[in-house]
Amino acid sequence: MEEEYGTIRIPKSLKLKLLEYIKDTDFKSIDEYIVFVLEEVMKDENEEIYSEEDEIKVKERLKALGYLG
Amino acid sequence: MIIVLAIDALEYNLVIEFNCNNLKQKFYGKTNITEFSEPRTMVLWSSFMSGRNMENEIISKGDKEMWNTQINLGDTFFKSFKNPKIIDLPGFNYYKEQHKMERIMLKKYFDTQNETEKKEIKIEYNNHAFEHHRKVKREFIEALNGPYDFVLGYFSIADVIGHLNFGNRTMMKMIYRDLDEIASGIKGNFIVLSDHGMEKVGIFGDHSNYGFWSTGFKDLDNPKITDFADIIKEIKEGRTWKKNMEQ
Repeated sequence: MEEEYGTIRIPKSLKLKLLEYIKDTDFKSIDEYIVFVLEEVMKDENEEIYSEEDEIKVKERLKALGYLG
Repeated sequence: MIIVLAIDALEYNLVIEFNCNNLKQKFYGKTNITEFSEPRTMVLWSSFMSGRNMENEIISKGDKEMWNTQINLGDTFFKSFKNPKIIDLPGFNYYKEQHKMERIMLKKYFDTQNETEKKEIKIEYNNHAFEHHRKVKREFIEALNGPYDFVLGYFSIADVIGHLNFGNRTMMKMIYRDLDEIASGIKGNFIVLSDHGMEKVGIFGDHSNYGFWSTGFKDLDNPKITDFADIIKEIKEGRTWKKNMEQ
């Protein structure tokens, strides 16, 4: 199934910079470039994964701090 | 007007890492909270406004009753102002039902073993916190234009969201950016103060054992949270605060 797309507004000055930036790359449009960058950012920045050990540790700490009384 | 941007769990390292220049101001650093056995929110804010260590008094109330602490205006440094406006401060006038609900949801999250339920509770918990944040932000911005000689806005978002999401850098960055934007809208001198910071435990967050402070007018070095009552009174009186080194 084809992905649905929405519209995002960016400053015109940034758009011009991006057009310049991608002109010698494989990106066919700045939309494609922005999607790539955002996906990369989300990948890098949400690197922490859930672990039961962490959960137990934090639960104990929150108890000690009075949050779970 | 003297303004305090009181931010629960604002973490020194993230303020630097995310380049929050408006929160950093000209002078910034860590507060010293080593006199307290644990970085408990209610203990630290109560001690801030009274200017004395209230740990024993607050802890003796027990974990449930502790959250109902309500210090009289006369027992705080706020009394030295003619028309102070305090927004949502723990131990003084915070929105009890809001924060009680946060703790109930937090407990539910940790009590359930069901993964789907955990996800649903987390979404509800986050939404609840963001909605409250927007409300406090509106109230704070409105107060900055009001007839007050002292305004304190307490923002709990970094703490509440941080406990379940501190490992999510995108979400934390978004929160710090918003807090930085709030600071950018303050005209004149103000103090940014947190009770404690936060450290990562996987995807979760735990309180760190130091807080954050900043001002645009004076280097406060490594102040105690209980020093701020005198610091603010002396700014009001136009005197320069000097740390009592014998303390």
